[in-house]
Amino acid sequence: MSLQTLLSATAYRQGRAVRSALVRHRAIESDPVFLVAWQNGFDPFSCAAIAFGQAHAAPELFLMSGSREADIEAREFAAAAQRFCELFESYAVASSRVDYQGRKLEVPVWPAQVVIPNGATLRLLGRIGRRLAGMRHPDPAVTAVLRRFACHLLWLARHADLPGQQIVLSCTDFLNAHWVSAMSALECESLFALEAWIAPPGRTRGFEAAVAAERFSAGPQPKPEDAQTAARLFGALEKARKGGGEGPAVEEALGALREFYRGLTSPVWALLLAIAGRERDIPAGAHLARRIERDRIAYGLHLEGLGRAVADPRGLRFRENARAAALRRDELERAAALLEVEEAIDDPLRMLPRLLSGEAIEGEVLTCTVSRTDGATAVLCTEEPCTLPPGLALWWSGAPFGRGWEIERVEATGAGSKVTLTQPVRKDPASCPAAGTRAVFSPLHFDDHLSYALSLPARAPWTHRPPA
Amino acid sequence: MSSSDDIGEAPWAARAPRHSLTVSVLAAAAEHTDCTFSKLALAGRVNLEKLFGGTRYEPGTGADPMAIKRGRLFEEILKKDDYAELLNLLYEQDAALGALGADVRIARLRDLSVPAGRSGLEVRAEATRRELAKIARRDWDASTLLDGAVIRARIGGEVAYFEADGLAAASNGSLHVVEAKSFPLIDGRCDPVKLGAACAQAGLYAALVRAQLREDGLPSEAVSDTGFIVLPKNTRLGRPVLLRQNLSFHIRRAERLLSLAHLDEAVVQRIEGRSFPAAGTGAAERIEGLSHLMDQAGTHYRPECLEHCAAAKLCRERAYKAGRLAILGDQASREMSGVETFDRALDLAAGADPLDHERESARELVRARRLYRRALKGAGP
Repeated sequence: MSLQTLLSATAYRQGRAVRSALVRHRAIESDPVFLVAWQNGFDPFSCAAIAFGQAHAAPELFLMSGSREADIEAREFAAAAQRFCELFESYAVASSRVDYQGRKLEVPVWPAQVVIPNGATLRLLGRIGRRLAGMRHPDPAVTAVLRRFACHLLWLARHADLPGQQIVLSCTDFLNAHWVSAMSALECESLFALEAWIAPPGRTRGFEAAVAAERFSAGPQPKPEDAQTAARLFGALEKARKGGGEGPAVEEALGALREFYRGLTSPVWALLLAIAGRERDIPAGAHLARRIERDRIAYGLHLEGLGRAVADPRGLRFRENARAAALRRDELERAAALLEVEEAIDDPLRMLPRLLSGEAIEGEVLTCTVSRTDGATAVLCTEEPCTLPPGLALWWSGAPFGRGWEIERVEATGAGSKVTLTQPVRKDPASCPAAGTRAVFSPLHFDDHLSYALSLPARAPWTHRPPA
Repeated sequence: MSSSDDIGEAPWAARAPRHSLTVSVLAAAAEHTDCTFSKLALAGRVNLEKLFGGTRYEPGTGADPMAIKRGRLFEEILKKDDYAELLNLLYEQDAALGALGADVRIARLRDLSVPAGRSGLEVRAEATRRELAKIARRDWDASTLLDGAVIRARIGGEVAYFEADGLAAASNGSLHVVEAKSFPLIDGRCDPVKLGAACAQAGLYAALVRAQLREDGLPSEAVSDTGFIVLPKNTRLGRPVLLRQNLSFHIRRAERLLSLAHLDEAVVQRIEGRSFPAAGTGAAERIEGLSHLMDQAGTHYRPECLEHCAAAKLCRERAYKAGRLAILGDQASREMSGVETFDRALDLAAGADPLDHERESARELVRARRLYRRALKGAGP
């Protein structure tokens, strides 16, 4: 927290946000799908308007007119669904084979990416998916496209929970993970205010720019004034529809609504493009490639199972049984642990919380001897007293895998400590820190057994096999 | 819930625009009972929205009319066929409420033919009082469902009438608050913030009813700690579901709020000669007047105030200009104990001599600065 406060105080003094990461920890694809959605206050499982598209073209806006006629409503959703499915699945045109859990899997070369303003938009997409999954229409083609759309949305909402994933890029989450401003967590949920702190216009200070930017909403909830205008326009449409049919009055009312939502969407759209463009230029973390690969496989598996889910939506489970919940929890915990290691290895700023809490040590390597028979011994001189007990295993951040270094001895030296670490197994000299360099030893490391293994091994170990 | 207007006037609010006390106003005030300025506004029923109207600190107000429409529709569904759906849910939920299934007496206090305005509310409040007394005394003709109750309470020394949106279900001398909300329960989960707000509202209703019973010399324990929140289940509005909630925390909090609404003499003396400005004065003059009052009374800005208080934007600016760490939130202030401002935090991080109460935070800041600088220089593996 002291680091967070220090960075916030620096941001306060400088009048603009400061970076809390030296590299970019999430991928931003070259041509992702940008999406902005506006909530319908009457129905939390629907939206009033949804706009999406890629950066090279203007966004396509689809209006859900809130009609009580199921047919109109389904067709409006179907139009948006059709276009979204085309865009989202277009990333799978080229594929390659990968090994996945012992089988050859054909997966898209690049995963799809959907850039959204904030987490609230993601939750709205999840709710829309939840509703459309059960929607039926006399025309089987409409039902199929709605289910397909629902499957995509539900999968996106679920996949977004996985720490480190980048198929769904929520801009507020992304910016908050890479920048620190002098705003509270609550205010940081406003994409416009956050961006105002990061890039305040002209000589304006972040605070003033953020206050001015707060008059805009990035969705899905419009500002109260806009919600009232929307209600008035929807009221006019309802009135026109009562007149009967789809006459010019209805068209006029629909046009006014479209224009209104286009006006709400355009500043958000411009902001999303600006953020993606700027952040893409920041060098990416070295371990991003692994997470892109994981996303690619997840996207491929989702597309593989899509046909089955569309044909039989009963397969879509909204509530998990105990086993599925435990497996999911395990998956999320593994991903979170791995992400922490990867980010800390890629970025010295991400290692700071461990150093500040005293769980990791940093200092100059006085000596490092590598023996073919006795393993390796390193002596580290730290500027701060080391409070870690002898016997504790730590990993050098330059090679955080395999068996860890054990703290053998800690001796006080003025303000700091001299820490002797030993590595009992034979080591490759390249995986040991060189004398005279600075090194960080922390508990963060790559481990295949980060948590309890829930799947039994394919071949029973010899202890469990019947005697030959 | 809404209340009628006023008897008497607080001197510091004599010129200010006033508004009726509503449960949302009280619930909002419950979020900052540590702010004297806010307490003054509550006790004087000052309409801060109006006072800040037309200034650059104007709060974005007004609920989404479509969301209000959804709420009304959901209530209509619940009230259909003499509350049949709601009564079924209550019956299924609790065997102790079994009596509801057998002999249901509904007190429709909203439908009483009473004059509009304050006198009408007084009549309804009296009727509510009689019904509550019957329930507490376990009379044979006590109602099992109260709809449209009006409760009399003293806020800031003045009498106010609160009209309850919620319902109250009673059986065997015990009364349970039932609050209907239109946000959905999706696959067994709902928005915890909204659920918390609904429970706070139900807790306030329960606290007001308890206060009323106490005033009438009846056992306040008749109001149960267990309340019910009715929500639509999943995607359809027409399938309500009942959540059983323990409201004891919310009731205690509401009771504390009601007791705090009475201002200390010391606070009144501190602001002597100062008052909330009149709505008609110019924007700059109004803001100046409010700032002076804030200086004298004292405020306690937290980021959460932005969600509840109409004065929050001005408070935030004042806190920002003073460079107070409080603008980051309670956690930052707590963890940097003893350090009040950003400038001081930076000075301490740079090695300035800490005062006794700053020593711990200063040590952390110095370490954080040293490690941060080293990380920026590229010291790593």
